Amino acid sequence: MSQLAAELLEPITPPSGQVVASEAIQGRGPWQLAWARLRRDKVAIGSSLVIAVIALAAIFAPLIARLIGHGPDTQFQSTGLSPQGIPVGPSTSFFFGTDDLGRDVFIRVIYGARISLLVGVIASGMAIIVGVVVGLAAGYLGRAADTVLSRLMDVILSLPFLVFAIALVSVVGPSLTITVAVIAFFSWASVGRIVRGQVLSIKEKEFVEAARSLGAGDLRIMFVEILPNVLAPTIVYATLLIPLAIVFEATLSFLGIGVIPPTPTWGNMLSEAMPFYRVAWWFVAFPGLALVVTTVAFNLLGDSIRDAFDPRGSRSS
Amino acid sequence: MTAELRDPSPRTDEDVLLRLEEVVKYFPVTSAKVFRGKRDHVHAVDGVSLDVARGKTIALVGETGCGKSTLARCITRLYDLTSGKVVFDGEDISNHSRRRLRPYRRKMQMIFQDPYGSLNPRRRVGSIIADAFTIHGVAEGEERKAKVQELMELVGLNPEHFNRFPAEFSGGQRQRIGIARALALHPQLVVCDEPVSALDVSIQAQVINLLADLQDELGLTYVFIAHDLSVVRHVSDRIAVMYLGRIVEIADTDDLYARPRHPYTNALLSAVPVPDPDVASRRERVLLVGDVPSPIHPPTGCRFHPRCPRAQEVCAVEDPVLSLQQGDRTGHAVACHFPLTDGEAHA
Amino acid sequence: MALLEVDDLRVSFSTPDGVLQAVRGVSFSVDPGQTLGVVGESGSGKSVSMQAILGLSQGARVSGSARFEGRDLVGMSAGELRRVRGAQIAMIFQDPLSSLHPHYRVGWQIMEMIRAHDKVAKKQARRRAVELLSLVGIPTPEQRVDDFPHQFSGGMRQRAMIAMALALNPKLLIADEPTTALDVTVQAQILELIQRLQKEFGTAVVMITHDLGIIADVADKVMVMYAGKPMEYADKRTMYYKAHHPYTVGLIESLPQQGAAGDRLRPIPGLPPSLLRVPTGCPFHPRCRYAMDRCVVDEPPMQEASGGAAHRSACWLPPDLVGLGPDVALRREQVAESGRDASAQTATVAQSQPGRR
Repeated sequence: MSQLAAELLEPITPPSGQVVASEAIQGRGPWQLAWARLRRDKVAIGSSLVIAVIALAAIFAPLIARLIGHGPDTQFQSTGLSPQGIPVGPSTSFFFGTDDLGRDVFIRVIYGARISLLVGVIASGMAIIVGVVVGLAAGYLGRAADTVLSRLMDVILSLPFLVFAIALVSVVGPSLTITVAVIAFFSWASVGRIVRGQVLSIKEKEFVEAARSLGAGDLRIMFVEILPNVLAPTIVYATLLIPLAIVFEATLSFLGIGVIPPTPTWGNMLSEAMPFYRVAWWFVAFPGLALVVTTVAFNLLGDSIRDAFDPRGSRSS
Repeated sequence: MTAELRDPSPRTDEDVLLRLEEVVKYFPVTSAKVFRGKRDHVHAVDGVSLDVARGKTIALVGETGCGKSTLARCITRLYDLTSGKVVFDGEDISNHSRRRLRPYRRKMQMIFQDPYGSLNPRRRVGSIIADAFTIHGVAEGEERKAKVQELMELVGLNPEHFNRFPAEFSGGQRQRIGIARALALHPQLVVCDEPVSALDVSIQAQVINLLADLQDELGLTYVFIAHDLSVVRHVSDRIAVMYLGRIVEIADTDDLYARPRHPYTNALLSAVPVPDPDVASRRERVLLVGDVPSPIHPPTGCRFHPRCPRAQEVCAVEDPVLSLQQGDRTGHAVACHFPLTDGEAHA
Repeated sequence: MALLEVDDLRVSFSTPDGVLQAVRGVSFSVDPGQTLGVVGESGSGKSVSMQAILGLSQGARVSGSARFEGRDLVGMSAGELRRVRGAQIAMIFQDPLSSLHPHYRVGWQIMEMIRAHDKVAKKQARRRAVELLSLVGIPTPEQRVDDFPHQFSGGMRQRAMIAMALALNPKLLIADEPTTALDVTVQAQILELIQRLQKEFGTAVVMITHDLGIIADVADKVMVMYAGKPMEYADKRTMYYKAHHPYTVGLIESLPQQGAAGDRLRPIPGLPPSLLRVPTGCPFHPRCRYAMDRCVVDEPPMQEASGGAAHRSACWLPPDLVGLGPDVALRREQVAESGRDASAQTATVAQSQPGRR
């Protein structure tokens, strides 16, 4: 749609009497409009489906394990390995082949999804909450609070992620909790920056002045007036942060400082597969593919959500 | 000099609701010259004194940078004053803390210029209008809803639309929403910051009439801000013309239009396009030279002198005092060394 | 011969919510050296129609014709149009800050404008830029020519835009709300400037505005637009003193009048229609206090009215019912009364107040 047409559309709403009554009274807000646009977007539907399938697989992993008759740690010394001790390729008994210990790659990839999604959602959820609160405070309160919080975010964003993670893990030892904590710690600052920027422009709007002239306090202004307006970009960022967190987790696990074996994750599976990529491509390919498909799906969904909230920008122009 | 700058038209016969005494508001300028030591300031409002009578409308008129919007926000105490006093209903509220201001928030309200920016796009109209009730803990549940719908009806909106979002309303309707929000707690004083300048011509008249009707009905006092003299004629009892942070002329409405004294008022009056071809071709425009100077370094002496067609040497040196004309009984005051006489004003 | 002759211009956009008919059949002409005022509220199609003529409305479907010196601009190739734009037809906009590029010096932008159409040396172009800036009343143009747009005030930016527009001596200047963003005293300066330059160079001007005051000042002929259509077309004095269309009458009457302090204004009730759902019949009928039965079904064509020569109006009221004031209003009311069926009458009254129900 052209810019011009969009401008023309905006100031004119149909006179109140002419709209169908039921629709007229239940107003269509910005959220409903975005939702309606999202439902028309084929990319959004496709990527949501992919994410849904992966999420379902992760949630029902034990059920799938029972269906196919073995779990992620079951080792098939005889059927799962060739006489030379080399992993066997995809077959009807092992859809994705086996790994170097004769374990089923298929069920391990599915169990890996649990970790990946868990870490992705929890770490980015924590990052969003902390980032939104800090960003709101920094942007709205300004002055000293802004200076302190903004510098803090700058410092965190300039810390070398891997060096810090390796150092930390070598002190406290690797675990799932530490992985989540490290990822959240390194992600909230970028959320905070985005939110702060938004707040800076929104707090100058007249509706904030209007609230203040009614006698609203700072907390009410921050959470009732400003927060709903930064939520849209935050949700967009959250969908982009999840795949980032998943990749972070994979990186840490790959390096052996994330989630440790035998718990399967896509990262540590890739790490284990590295010596075998010449003889057992499936061992590398399937966890890698799972990682790529998941991150791409989340990224596409994030783009679609952004378009849904702001139909004028982005793709068309 | 301080005493002389007071609104020199004390009306003993009228009940003063709002009194401004020497209100000054400077904003620090954030510039690259941090190391210079001395910081520059925008002299947004620079010594304004004014009385507003209960139940009346006073208009503050002036162009960009004259400080009218800043003054409005000083009155409603959205800004802290640099110096001076805001006296509301006999009480000096210029140094009140936020907590002590709260009861006054119910008594004075503001209507904003931008019908798009002044309503939160993510909230439903009903909850926007109900804000005043929520914040001050007035009415609950069904009673609150009934009150909101009553307000919507009062300003000419369909009360069934309380569940809609601002984007579903046109500019004029949004301005009505803003008016409803301002009137929720029955304020005594309403500061209207250019309430119609963003609206289409045919809608402007609707909103102005609504404001006038509400004043009659509810006995409101208005401080009405405008950037030119065409709109305020219909709504105001008294008009103060501002230039670079000062009041340069103040008079009763009819008097100001009939007998402008300050050359700036005269230029403003003559610059307003008249929707009448014959009048337009007959009259002579007073064209000012240049633009409004920066309020960071306002001109010396009379602030209008660099653009004034009547300026003489003294104008650049001596700051004229806002004072009554000799023999004046209507409270027509002007700050000019060489005010216009009756015959000199534009047609 | 007319300099610009527009015939049945239509512009539409397709949007996710349906086809938006921004301009629905506009015809007018501009003679050399003349000023046409185009008045309308937001969404009336006044700006879109001019942008469409110049090929500046992206994504729009344009039909009809716009003959400039005999050549049809609608359907002209982008390259040809670009040669016409600037050189022969120039345009100035409401917001001079967004029309000037913030990263280039003002003088450079004027020079580029000249050199894009005329092969002249840089030095010569610069001399011309300085000349132009002084022509539009910018003090010390030799120095200001090297300033960036942000160093100019709003009024000076609009002057610079006018200088750029006049750089190639265009025959037609389209001014789209050129003073809306400016203060009144600066607006007066700019209007004076446009009129002075028009006299000096014989440029024809199309002045698009929502302000009837500006039109009364500068226009020769006036076109009033509503919901993408012309409602009335006449010379200036006819339009102000002998208006025929109730919308024009309403617009003039809703303005604050001279010497009427304290009185209520007379607004037009209701709201302008959505261009996605234009009312049947006359687009103004839901807000018109003289709406008759046929107005709801039949769309009135532009036809002769008796206010003056070339006075045309799109209204079913008798062509001799022109002018303002209570007498004509009463006669209009009588005609309207007889044009209404008793049963339909209540419906029309209810419809004329959609915002107030």
